[in-house]
Order: sequence, then structure tokens, then C-alpha cells
Amino acid sequence: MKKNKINLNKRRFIKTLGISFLSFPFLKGVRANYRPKVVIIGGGFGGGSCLSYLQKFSNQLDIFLVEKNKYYYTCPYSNSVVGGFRSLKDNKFSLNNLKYNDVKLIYNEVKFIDSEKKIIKFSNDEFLNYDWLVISPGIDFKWDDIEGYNIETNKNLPHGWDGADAKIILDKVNSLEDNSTILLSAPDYPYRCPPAPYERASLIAYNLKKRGMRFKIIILDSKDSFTKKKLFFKAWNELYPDSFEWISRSQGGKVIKLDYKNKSLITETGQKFKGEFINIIPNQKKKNLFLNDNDNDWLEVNPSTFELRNHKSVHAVGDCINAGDMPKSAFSANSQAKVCAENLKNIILDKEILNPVFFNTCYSFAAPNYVFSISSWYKVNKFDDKIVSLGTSESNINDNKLQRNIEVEHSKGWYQTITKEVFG
Amino acid sequence: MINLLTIPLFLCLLFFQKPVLSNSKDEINIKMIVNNCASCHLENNHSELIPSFFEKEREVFIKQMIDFQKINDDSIMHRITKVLNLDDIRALADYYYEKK
Repeated sequence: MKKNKINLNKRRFIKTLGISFLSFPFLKGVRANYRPKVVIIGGGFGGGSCLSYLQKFSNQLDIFLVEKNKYYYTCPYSNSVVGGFRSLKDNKFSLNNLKYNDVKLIYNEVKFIDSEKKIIKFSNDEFLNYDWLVISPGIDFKWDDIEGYNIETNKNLPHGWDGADAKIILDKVNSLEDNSTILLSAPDYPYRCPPAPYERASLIAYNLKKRGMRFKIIILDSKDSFTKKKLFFKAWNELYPDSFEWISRSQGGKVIKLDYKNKSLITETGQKFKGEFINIIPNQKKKNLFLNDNDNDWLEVNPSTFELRNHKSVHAVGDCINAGDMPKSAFSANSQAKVCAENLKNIILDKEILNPVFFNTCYSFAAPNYVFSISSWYKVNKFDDKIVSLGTSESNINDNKLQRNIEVEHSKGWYQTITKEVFG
Repeated sequence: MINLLTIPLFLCLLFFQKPVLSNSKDEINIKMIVNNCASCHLENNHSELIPSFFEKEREVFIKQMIDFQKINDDSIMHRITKVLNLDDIRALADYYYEKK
């Protein structure tokens, strides 16, 4: 099976070389020096990690990175900004020109990808061709799931589910008065960073408590459980007693309507909740870059190479894909990107595809000195070709303050390392 | 008769088997494991908050990994190392030692 795949890839590689030479006459004169052209779209944790690992083979490949924004604000640690104990600029990164001096960086917005012709079209009508493409565009939102909530209302009630909007959420929290009620609508699976709604609620609580305010946080959930639930409940009882109410979906927690004028949320059981601050985190789907794409919420990939099932020579990593048991997180995207880079290099250089393993850890803050985590290794199940967990495990529920503080250091260390690895 | 006994025994073994990353020495290329470790334990410019693997002696590395496995305290390193077998740990130690 591997042999067939390699032969197929070899044929595809030769075909691509041929098409590239025909399409681009300037390459004809340098045929002997032709280098396969790999384009990566998205410079976040998925695309940036892939770039970092593919760059090791830049003597054999022409590597391009396409990114819309010159600066990237990380989602990890964005809730610490909301908590008021971290500056937004500490989460701001750009790709280090010194590290990536042999990569061609293109700052432009992708309009669509024509995977048949292997061409990327940009919003300004410029084009870029490729031999192999890696995309990591992240997520989009399902704006029609909650009546009265859409892109327009989101301008006044931002979800803050990208790193850049954390300061806006902080400003909203800072403007709250004593005895405020905060309503947080948590989305249904799958979505980016499963523990993050509950971390956000914890750090809003931290911010308000630090300023001596009384408050009530009501989490209206579209799910009946959530990751690290026992650890969050314990933290809320220890740090913010009697301040939290979590309403599961079966208890009527799923929000179906926003009454913006009356600052209220209505759930599917008809209950109405009023709050001084409303934070809706919408249901999510992939950011679509293709013409005539199907209606699937997430991209389907081969979990060993991350090549899309329905677009040849296009690979995808990160939040935009269905990654089986792996959650959508920066750590997961980083882990997938390294496998993608390794095996894409193997495809291009006609080497054996390696069996992948993946790892993920999600650290969550309940306060600046109180962190716990969940982690798992993953492999590919050969029977159904899906990524499966080898078993998730969490921090011990009975950990003391010192152990929670040690996890703070682990979390900060991970963040320092992964941002160094990705951005340089 | 042998088959009738063997099948449930095999299923029991499968069910109770500790999940491991690699079931045989050659199943997983060590680079695939190392790449995941690098999210925290980077070769260069490692964080001052997380120790480097590249500075450890081979035997010290192996002992520490085995100690992490033994001490069942749900620490992050216990959770990470518990699915590694001795071959994985030795291969990791060799990798980091060669890069030293």
C-alpha cells in the first residue's frame, strides 16, 4: 500500500514538474535546478509550525508563506489578557525575518484556491501557483445558529475567539459595575480550544474579584459536559464561591436567541436570562478557501500525510480539519503540522511515509497562580484511518497550591517554547 | 479447543493492555516522538522554565523518564511518559545524546 502511494506520488511529482515547466517558461532554462514549490497558507500555529519544519529542507524546496496579517495574536494566553494580568502585546508575534530569510513571505488575502489548476487567487486578483500546498486557515463561525446574533451584532458583542479581540473583552469586563451578571454562551463541539470558555469565565471572575466587585457568572452551555469539568468546578468553589452557575444543555442551557435590546439570552427551553455583559461564543466550522466546496463543516484529511481527501496535493492542518479524537488547539495544530511537514517532505523526495504520533496538552488558568491541564498521545487507527487517543489524563483533582503553581510554570514554558519554535 | 481458549485470552490481553506509543521497536520513527517533545523541549533557545533534554547524560535521561513513569502523581511528565516503553526511552536518550 505504501509502495503504491509512493509510486502515485512519484507520478504526481513528475506530472507537476511537467505542468510547472509548461506553465512557467522562465523555469525552462533552469530545468536541472528546478525545486518543488511548496506554498503554505496561514502563519499561525498550524502553518507556522509546518513552515518551521519544512524550512529544514529549504535547500531542496522553494517555500512560500501566504498570510493576511503582518502580526499574529495568539489565542493561547488571550484569556489572561481578559483576566487583566497580561498585556495584549505579549501575545503579539510576527514571523522572524532572520529565521525565515530563505522563505518567501507574501502578505495577501486568499480569495480562493483552484486545486485542479494548482493556483491560488488573491483578493487583489493576483495569482500564485504551487506544486504542493499546505493550508491552515483556522475557523469561521456559524452566524445563523442563534437568532438575533450575527456579524453585525458581533461588532457590539464580540465573541473574542481570536487572540486580537481579547483587549475588547477586557474593556467590557473593566466597565462592569458592582453586582453585575455575566452571561457566557458556550458552543457545541467541535470548536477551537474546548476548555477556553470555562477558562475565560474563570478569569473574568478573577478580574472582578481582584477589583473587589460582587458578580454572578452564568454559563449557558450547548453541551451536557465539558473538558476538565471537575477541575473547573473545584477551582470555582475554592476561588470564587457562590459566583458561578453552569446550566447544561439538558437543563435548558442551549442559547437560541439574543435579545440585544434587552441584554438577554433565550434558551431552547424558553428560559430568559438577563445580564450586564453577554459573551456569545458561536458554533464553529472551517474557514473555506475552495471554490465549489462541499458543505462539510471540517476538512477531511489523510491522517498520516494530511492531504485532503478531495483535493490532491493540498494538505491541511490545525483547527480547520476533522482530526478525529484530537481537540482543536495550538498544541494539536503544532503536532499535526510537524507530521505533515515530515511526510510531505517524504512524498516530495520520494521517501517512505512514516507512522505518525501526535501529542496535545491544554493548560487552563483559573487564576494567575492556579493552572491545571489535560493531555493525551494519539496514533492513527489503521482500521478506519482516523486519529485516536491513547487515553486522556488530567491534573490530579487533589493537587495543592504548589502543584497548581508548578503547572503555571509548565504552561508559561510551553508558551515560550512553542512561540519560539513557530515565529522564531 | 486451543482456539476457543486462545481467542478470549487474546481479547482479554487487548482489553487490559496498557496503551503504548509503539508496539514494536520499529513501528514509530523516533523523530516523530521527538518532534512532539520539541513543543516544550526545544533543541535551541529552550525556555528557562523547562529543562533541556539536550544537556542530560544518557543514563540520567533514562533514569528520569523511568522515575516519571513510576511516580503516579498525575504530573504532566508522568502522563507523557506512561505510554513510552523502554525501547522508546532508550531511543530518545540516544537521540538527545547524539545531538548533545
